[in-house]
Amino acid sequence: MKNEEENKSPILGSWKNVYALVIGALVAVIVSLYFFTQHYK
Amino acid sequence: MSFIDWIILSITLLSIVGYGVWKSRHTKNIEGFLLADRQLPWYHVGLSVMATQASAITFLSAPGQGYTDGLRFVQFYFGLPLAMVVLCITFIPIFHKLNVFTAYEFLEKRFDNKTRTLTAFLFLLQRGLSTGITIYAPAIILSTILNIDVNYTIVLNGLIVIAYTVYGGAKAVSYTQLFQMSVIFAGLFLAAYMVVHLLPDNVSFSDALHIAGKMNKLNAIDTKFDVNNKYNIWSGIIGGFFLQLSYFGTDQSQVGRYLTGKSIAQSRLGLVMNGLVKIPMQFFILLIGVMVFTFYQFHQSPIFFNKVEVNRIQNSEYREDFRDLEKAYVIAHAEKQTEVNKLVEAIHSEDEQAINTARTNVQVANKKSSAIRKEATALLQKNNPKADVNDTNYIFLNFITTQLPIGVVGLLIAIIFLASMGSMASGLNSLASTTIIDFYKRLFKKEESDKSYLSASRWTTVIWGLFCIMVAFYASRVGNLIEAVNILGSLFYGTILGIFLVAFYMKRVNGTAVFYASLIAESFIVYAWMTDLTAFLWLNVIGCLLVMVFAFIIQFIINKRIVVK
Repeated sequence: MKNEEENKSPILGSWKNVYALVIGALVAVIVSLYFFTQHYK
Repeated sequence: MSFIDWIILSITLLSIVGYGVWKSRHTKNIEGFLLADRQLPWYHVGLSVMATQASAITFLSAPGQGYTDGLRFVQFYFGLPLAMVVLCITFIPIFHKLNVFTAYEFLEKRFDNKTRTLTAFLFLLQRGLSTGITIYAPAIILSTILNIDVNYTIVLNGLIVIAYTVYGGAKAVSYTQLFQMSVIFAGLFLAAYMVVHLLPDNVSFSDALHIAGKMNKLNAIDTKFDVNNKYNIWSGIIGGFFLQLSYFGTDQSQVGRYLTGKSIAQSRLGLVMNGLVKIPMQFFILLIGVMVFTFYQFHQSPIFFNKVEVNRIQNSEYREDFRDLEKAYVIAHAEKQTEVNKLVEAIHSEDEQAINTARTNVQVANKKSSAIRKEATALLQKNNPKADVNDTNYIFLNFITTQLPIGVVGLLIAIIFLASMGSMASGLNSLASTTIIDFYKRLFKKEESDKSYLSASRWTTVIWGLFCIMVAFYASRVGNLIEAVNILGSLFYGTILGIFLVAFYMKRVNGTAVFYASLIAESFIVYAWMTDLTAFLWLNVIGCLLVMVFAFIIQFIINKRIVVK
């Protein structure tokens, strides 16, 4: 029980939300870099 | 380097290493030495993971790569956040629940001892060679600054890190890395500010980006699929994912870092932090290299960035020929600068036609300079066939030591040392862990006291340290260091990852099938690399898939034979 409590995500409510944040940030970075590349071409 | 720079360098290094050693003074058992008693919080884990990956090579080679090749190397890291998510879901809970010291212990529980031993052996081979290359990188710095043979500085660097890792183990590694990363981030911002500050008054940061962009240096994204192109978005996401998953999931130098987390949640958060910060950090380091390139569009760059090789030819029979090339290079730069100034004016006037004309002229001028540089390189090789003619690793170093003010130089050199120490220490600690846990304790001395294992771990660290020093002596022959480490990793990581993925996801495959499958896959990968079959990032994908497919086929054959009998 103590382990389960310790292993809950301390941020964003659940681990699923944390992983969604990581993937969302990756997509945002790739899109930003794409426009960055196009802008300065 | 000035006296003040030496003082700043010495104080920064001594205080950070001293802090790590002091914090690890109570290390009295094997768990403390190898895994810091599994008590570290997430930010320790995250920074330690980042410091382990960000070796001195990152701070020497990556800006050089930005200078020569632009931003496209950043795509290499696109698979990393995805790999972090898979690690958090699959690897971390299993490693924590089994309470393992090394990733390879899990393989014996899932398969058998021969599969564990084979995987641990492949790791030791790969990590031993890679750590040797990481010792070489900072040794270049001392060699250039002190103008002495690089072999002496390799020995000096190697011995310092061996002493520090032998004393403190994983705790010293982690506590030192915490401060190392803080200083590294601060130093990087300072370097970025300085390079922009040193641009001419009429050239803003935005102008500098436009100039770099017009010279194809801001090529961060390449969407064209080509298996022979090392860096594009597809090789980065797919190949990079497999490489990073393998590196973080099966390389003990990384597994050992997040096993120090005091719970599954703390280890996971550490990797999430890495997933969020790594790409922006790498982009930033490459951009510094690109800004150094822009800086040298307005200032005369050396014809060759490695001073040691230049000094050598200046004292040879070819010195007159070399001097002529240097003169031609200065004239070519003056011509180029005229064109660059026209490009700046065109950018300011926002006249597209003028921009395109100026861009073409600058590119022509750049080609002329490159041709002279090529002649100089050929002359260096003619003078000394063993000359190191790849100067990518020296570009940023040369810029720091010749262009930056007193004090900043010392701090930036300290950063390169700190980065090197962090990754070397993690490497040596993981080599010791695997040797002791997967070979010594498992195969030779099963029931020794904790004190005996601790002593054996320290001795093993010394032996691996000496091996890595030997490897470093040969590292000067491998060209771009950051690529060399990644190529070396790609030769083994795919196979190792395949073994772990079979363990996790192919429940019906047993140890014998995966053992022979991995031998076949590794043989093919070595063949593919030797025959230059494809760009190196794809070797990770191929190796991993081959293990999984062959393991399935061999298991199928074994099952058939059992049924026939």
